[in-house]
Amino acid sequence: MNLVKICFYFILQFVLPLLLEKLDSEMQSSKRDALETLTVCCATYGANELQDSLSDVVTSLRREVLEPVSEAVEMAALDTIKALALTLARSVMPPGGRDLLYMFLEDMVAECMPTLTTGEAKCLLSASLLLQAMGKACCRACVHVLTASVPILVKRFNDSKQAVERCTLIDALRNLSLCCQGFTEDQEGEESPLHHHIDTLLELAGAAVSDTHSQLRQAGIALLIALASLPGVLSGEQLRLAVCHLSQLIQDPVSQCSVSAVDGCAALASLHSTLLIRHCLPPLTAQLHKDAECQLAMKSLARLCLHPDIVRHVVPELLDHLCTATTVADVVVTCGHLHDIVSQSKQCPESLSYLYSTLLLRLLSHAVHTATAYGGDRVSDDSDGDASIIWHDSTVIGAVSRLLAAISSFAEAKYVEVLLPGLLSLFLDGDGKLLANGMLECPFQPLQPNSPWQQTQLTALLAACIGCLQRKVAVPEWERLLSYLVKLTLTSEHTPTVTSGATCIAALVNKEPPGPRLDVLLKDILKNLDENLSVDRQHGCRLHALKLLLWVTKAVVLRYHLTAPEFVNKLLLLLGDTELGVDAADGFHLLVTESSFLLGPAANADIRLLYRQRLYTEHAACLLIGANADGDRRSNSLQALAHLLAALPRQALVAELPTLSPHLLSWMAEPHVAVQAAAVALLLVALEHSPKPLEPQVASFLTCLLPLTRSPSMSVRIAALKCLAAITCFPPYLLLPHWMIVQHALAAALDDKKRLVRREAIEARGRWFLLGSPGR
Amino acid sequence: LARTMLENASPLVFQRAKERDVTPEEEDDLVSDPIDDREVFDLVRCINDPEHPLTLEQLNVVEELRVQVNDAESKVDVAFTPTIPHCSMATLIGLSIRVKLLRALPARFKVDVHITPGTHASEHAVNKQLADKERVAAALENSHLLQVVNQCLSPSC
Repeated sequence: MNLVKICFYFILQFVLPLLLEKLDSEMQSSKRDALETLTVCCATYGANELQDSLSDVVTSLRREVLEPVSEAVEMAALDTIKALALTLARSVMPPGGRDLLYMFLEDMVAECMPTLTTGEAKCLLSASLLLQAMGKACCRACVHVLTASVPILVKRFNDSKQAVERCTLIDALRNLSLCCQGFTEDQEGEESPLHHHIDTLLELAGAAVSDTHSQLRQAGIALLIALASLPGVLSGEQLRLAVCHLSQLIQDPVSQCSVSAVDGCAALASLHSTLLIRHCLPPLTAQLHKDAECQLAMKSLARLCLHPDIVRHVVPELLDHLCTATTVADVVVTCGHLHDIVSQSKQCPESLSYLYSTLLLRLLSHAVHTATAYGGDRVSDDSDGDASIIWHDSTVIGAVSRLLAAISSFAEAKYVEVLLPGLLSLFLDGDGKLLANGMLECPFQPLQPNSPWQQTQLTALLAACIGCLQRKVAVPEWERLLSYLVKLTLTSEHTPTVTSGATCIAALVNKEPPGPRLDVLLKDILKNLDENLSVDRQHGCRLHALKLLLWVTKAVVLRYHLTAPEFVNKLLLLLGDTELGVDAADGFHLLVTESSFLLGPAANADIRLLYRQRLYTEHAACLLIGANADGDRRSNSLQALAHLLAALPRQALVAELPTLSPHLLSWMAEPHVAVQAAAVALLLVALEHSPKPLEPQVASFLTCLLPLTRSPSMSVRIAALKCLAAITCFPPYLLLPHWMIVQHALAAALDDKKRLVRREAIEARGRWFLLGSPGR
Repeated sequence: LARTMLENASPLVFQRAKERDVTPEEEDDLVSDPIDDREVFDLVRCINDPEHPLTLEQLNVVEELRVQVNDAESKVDVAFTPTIPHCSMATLIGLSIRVKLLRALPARFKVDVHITPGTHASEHAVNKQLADKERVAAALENSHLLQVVNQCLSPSC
């Protein structure tokens, strides 16, 4: 409709009165529609066509902004004002004619003047928005608006004694300053519209940031940031002073403004990185050496890392702090901040290449040097009191490997390919050329099972570096690396090493394109697993083999590899094993939960969307057979099935109900908590979606559910009570015979020690009370 | 109860409190959570008013600060404020609160439901009725009255 209305010049004389009438309507939606049409009209027609109705239009627009009723209408009116000012600015003035833009601006400013001088806070902000809309239209309007309003607002600020009013005035001034955003860069050589006001504004911002009122300080910081972010407005010296001011606020935790000051500086990072490096970073890096202020300084430094140059300055400082840290907690926190820097830099290739080539290498060097310095026989020597001993802690290795994984997962292939050969020769052959300080004190052989555990546990770092890479990156010496890893995983006695080795193998298997190389490897792994899982082996050896089996199974299941059923069947066979059955059943939890680290979506793993459903569909029948067998096999199969069912989406569960419902009663009577939980959850889904087939068995269900309301596990109690509430959808004649016994059990649950359980008990009891009662 | 006109046709409507946040302690199986003021307030705030499609909380008849719970001594004290001093529904509202607490609290609690002092013309008479267990039991034998109470207690929020 808008287009039709504006298509022909000659209909404008009819359209404008209609629009004006629509603007007077009570309906907010028609007002908005009229304003949007008017905006389009302004862009299409010239000032001459609009001239006749201008004064009426201006009156209506002013009313919508200065006495706003709805936010949407106010915004539409502001857009129209901007479009109108732009049209008037573009008009060609006839000889002896009037300057329409000047008249329009004068009219509007005169209307706003009383509000600016004495108006209340809300009106003041509306007036400032109106002036800002006009100022945004063109440079001439911007100069006019600023000249008329800034001196008045500044004077009012200086006269005012109320902090809240002063905050509003600063916000209004900030809005007005931002309207000259478009007119500073493109008109070279010309002064910015703010030029004549900048000194006053800076003085005012300075007064605000040093005030005692925290809200006023926040407003001052926002004004300072707004001025500094306008290109070409502040002189070099003024910018320096502004950054110094902000830097002081960051360091002063008492001011309560350090967070907003840091955020402000972060907003300036891409524009004024040099200034920040010169004035903001040195005091913060100095604070890293003081225990009390160290945490806050690290957080602020990490937040500022939004420009490659700043990253280059901050990361070495944080790395030094990390390498000299004396407590595990300190290392973990510093790694967390470095992780934040990596996440912030993922859109910036320059920062990422720096992080990959420097941070990754320094971390690896430090870890390798500390591992070799105390490796072998020297591990028990006078190592007490040395800071680097904490780098043998598994928590530290975990934190560092998560950091390395984050860097590797974002790194571009071209940088990775340069570094990978050196990395692999370090881990495979102990060649330290890659590392920062060259030679190693001791031979470094982390992939040899007979190496000290301080060295072998660094497999976690290798896994992080190569397991998270993009899928297109080819890993050199793939076969040799995997044969070493398989051997290490199956023969090492250090459990964290075995886990890291298994995850590393799984990550590589998951990403390897299909082909003979992968088939040979998987066949080899299966053969090795057969040997190591045989019953005549020691328990520890079998347990480590099971770990490898679980991780490789996960890798192949995630990508729907053809050998996946073979691996899962091996796992299913182990459910009947007296030694490994329970661990194998728990392993199904690992298969269906999303990894946050390796083999997760963030680690560029190959994950098919419906792999959980597929795993369930292919193997549920086998698990159901196991669930009806005897002994350990029964309980372990049920446990595994419970893990699979817990991970299935609700829609998929509903489809499986007819197959599973007949088994529900026997599962609820099982002693395992996970099995009970899965069974009760399934019953709840059944009661909500298709309760009819369950009606004949209501007595049996109630007999099974009531003992579960006293289960030691909170989740089982809650689920059982939810079922008791849901079961009230059955016809009352089926339930009323059991009313007494159920009410008795529910009364006991009302005094449960957990509030969440009591809540469900109250809900269920309330529904049972209403059964067959009048007023239901 | 059969009335042609509402006593208070356009009552003031108050904002509802936010749902209680679940804390990590509440999710920890080993920690016990005592029954507190807010928990009992959550029970009574959702009761529907007999006259209006609003809850007692929205009419400000019940407030959290007028609910006192002592879990250790098993005592609950709830004071409610009728919207107008001559409200004939005061007894019914009090009965609904009483029945709700009877159904939702463990049997060990001694529950005292009464009108906020000085807010109703026949405060003492109503309080006496509400405190009399036999009269409450007798009232619930009346199927018509039970129907109204059940309607007040039906889950609506």
